[in-house]
Formats: sequence, C-alpha cells, structure tokens
Amino acid sequence: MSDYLWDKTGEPEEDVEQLENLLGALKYQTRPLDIPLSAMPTAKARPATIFFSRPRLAIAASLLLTLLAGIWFVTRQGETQKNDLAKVKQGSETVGSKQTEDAVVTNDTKTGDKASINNAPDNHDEVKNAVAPKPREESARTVTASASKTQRATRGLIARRQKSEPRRSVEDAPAPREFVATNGTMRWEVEQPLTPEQREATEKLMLALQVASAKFNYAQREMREIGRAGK
Amino acid sequence: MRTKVDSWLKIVSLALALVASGAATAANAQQPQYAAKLQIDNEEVLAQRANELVDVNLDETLLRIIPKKIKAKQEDGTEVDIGAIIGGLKGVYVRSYGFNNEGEYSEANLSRMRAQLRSPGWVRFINVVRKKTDDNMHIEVYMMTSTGSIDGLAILALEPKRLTLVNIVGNINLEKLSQLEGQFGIPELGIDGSASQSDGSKDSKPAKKP
Repeated sequence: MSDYLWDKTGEPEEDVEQLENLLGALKYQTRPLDIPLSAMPTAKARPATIFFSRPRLAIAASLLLTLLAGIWFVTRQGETQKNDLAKVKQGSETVGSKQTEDAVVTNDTKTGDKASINNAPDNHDEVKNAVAPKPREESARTVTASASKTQRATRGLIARRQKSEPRRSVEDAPAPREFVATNGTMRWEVEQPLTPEQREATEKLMLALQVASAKFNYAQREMREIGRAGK
Repeated sequence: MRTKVDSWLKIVSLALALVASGAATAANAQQPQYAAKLQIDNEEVLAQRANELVDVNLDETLLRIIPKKIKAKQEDGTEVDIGAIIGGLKGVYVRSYGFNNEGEYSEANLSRMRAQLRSPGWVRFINVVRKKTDDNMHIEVYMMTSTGSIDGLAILALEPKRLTLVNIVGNINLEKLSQLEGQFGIPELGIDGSASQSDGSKDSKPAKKP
C-alpha cells in the first residue's frame, strides 16, 4: 500500500488520482476573495461622505439661519434705538415751542388775563414777542440739576449758539430748547449727569406727563364741580 | 433600518428649520405688544391742518434711558418723585393738535381710537361734557385694569380748536400724575380750559353720556 494518501509519497492509486483531479478545483488557493460588485458598499454610505449627508447639511443651514436672524435682529434693534433718539431730538423743537407757549399762557393766567392757548393764533405776534428770548428771560432760565457738568454743558451750548448764530429778529427767534419757565424755576434733581439723549427724553416725558396731568385734573375738577352743583 | 434613520433625520432637520424661522419671526417683533397701547400714529391729516403740534412718542426703550432717580421740585419745596411715576410705565404717547379755526377735526378722526377703546379691558371712568358759548370742552378718560392694577390710561380731550390724545401704557399712579400739573414753574396749563373754569363754573352742565 502506498503512502500517497498520507504524505503524497509513492505511487497514487488510480481511483485516488481520479478523485484528486475531480475535487482539486475546490482546494485552497492563495488569491484574493472575489466578491460580486453588487455586494460592494455604495459611495453614498461610505464613512468619508456620511459627514456631509443631507440631514446634516439641513441642520447646519438651520443653525446658520438662526445665527443670521440673531445678527439681523441685534443690528435692527440698534438702528431702531438710534432712530428713536433721532426722533426725540427732532421732536424737541416742537416741545420747546409748546412749552414756551404754555409759559406765556401761564403768565396770562397769573396776571388775571385768562386767555387760553386756543386764542393764541389771534394774537400771534404778541405770543412771538413774549416767546422771543429777552436778556432778562435768558437769565431767568434756571435749569438746575445737581450735576454741575450738565449745567456747564448747557451754558456752553447756549453760549456757542449765541456766538455762532447771527442775532435774529423777533420773528425769526428760535424756540428755546430748554425747559423754560418764565415765572418760576424748574428744578430737577438727578444723581448723575444727564446725557443729551437722556435730557431730551426726560423733557419729552415731562411734557407728556404734564399734558396728561392737566387733562386728567381738569376732568376731575369738572366732575367735582358737577357733584357740588348737584348737591 | 437605514431608511428609517434617514427619515427621522429629515424630520429633525425640518423641525430645526421651523424653529429657526420661528426665531426669525420672533426677532422681527421689535417691542413686546401691550394691550393698552393704542394706535394713534397715523393722524397725518390732522397734523397737516394743525398750526401747532405736540407729538410725544416714548416707548419702553426710550423710557429705559431716563434715569429713575429724578425728583421735580416746586418753588414751595414740594417734591414729586418722577421715578415713582415712570417706574411702571411701558410707553407714553401724546398728540395735541392746535388749530386756527374751529371744526378742523371731526369725530371721524377719532373713530379709529374710539374703536380701540371699545375693546375689552378699557373702561371709561370719566366723561365730562361742558358746553358754553365761548368754551366747549369734552374730556373722556379711559382706564385699562387687570388684577387690581392699572395697565393703561387714555385721555381724549376735544376742544373747538384743539384735540389732545394721550395714551399711557403701563402701571401709572394717578395721584402722582395729578400732582404734576403746576410743576416746573408752569402752574396751570391754559390748554385744558381750566383758566376759564373758575368763572364759568355756574354754567357747567352735568356730565352727559354720549
């Protein structure tokens, strides 16, 4: 008996040789595995490209959108505030002229002449004459605040205006911007110097509250009068 | 399995996009809206006719820059704490139109404001109508309240040659507000007709309901 089946030595038997040829095709071969193309991973699922998948891009876009919206909002807020402050400055002209007219009316009230502001258009020239800043009235402008810095700034502003602007006629006299009181003094007490914006806003607030107060008080007084008359 | 994950991711990204657009919309809203804020901004017609205009717009942003520690002092030494008045305010809006002639404005100019004042929450608590030959006056004071505090105040003052609209948003102390007239060296404002009130009180008629 040959040792062919044991260590491939000796003469192989015919039937063994036949079987070896038949099954030899299935023996181990040192070649790479032949995987079918259909079983290969696609480019879509490759790890390198997963990072840039559509959902992730959508999330990134959303975050970017939120960020841009935030930036836009902050910018717009700033612009709105600037506009508001500009409006305050612009409106101060109207406020100033209104306050001066009020002051004139007050004078009339004090002296017994009960002309209301409604009659102002009829004697417009008189109003303007009264409104025009006279030296005595200039000195009577006592806008006092605890902070001397504000006082200096105000005085400086008035002095600069007087220097830079040519002397105008009574007709062209600008309405004073300060809170003018011709028959008294307005005093504010603040713990800190006011910035121009704060000052403008405060003056507008005072005027608004004063108008509201006047109307409210008038309505209340009338109600009381009516109540008394009823009794 | 993979398709399920993909669809979930799509849903999540869609939700994120919605949140982002919602944030943008919210950012678009400049100021918080208050129920007591009235729209009295578009009275251009009246502004053109008026020969005198007082236009005060102080929203919450501007009110915030006003220092809270302000005290107004009267000549007699009486102090009014302005900070206490403005502490709870969210907005102050005043329009006062002065005209040369009578009849420059009509009720139609007030219809928009009146419509807003008919909305729930507003209560008219003062209505004064005084009709005299030389001095007519009609003042309505509205208040918006909730849970015991005042949320807003609106005043309509109609005079032959003057129309005044006031809208104060926020909690206002009426007692302190009434003290402000006569402050700042301007004891009485003639614009309220009070100058002729003292001598014309006999002619005062009872308040009418419109």
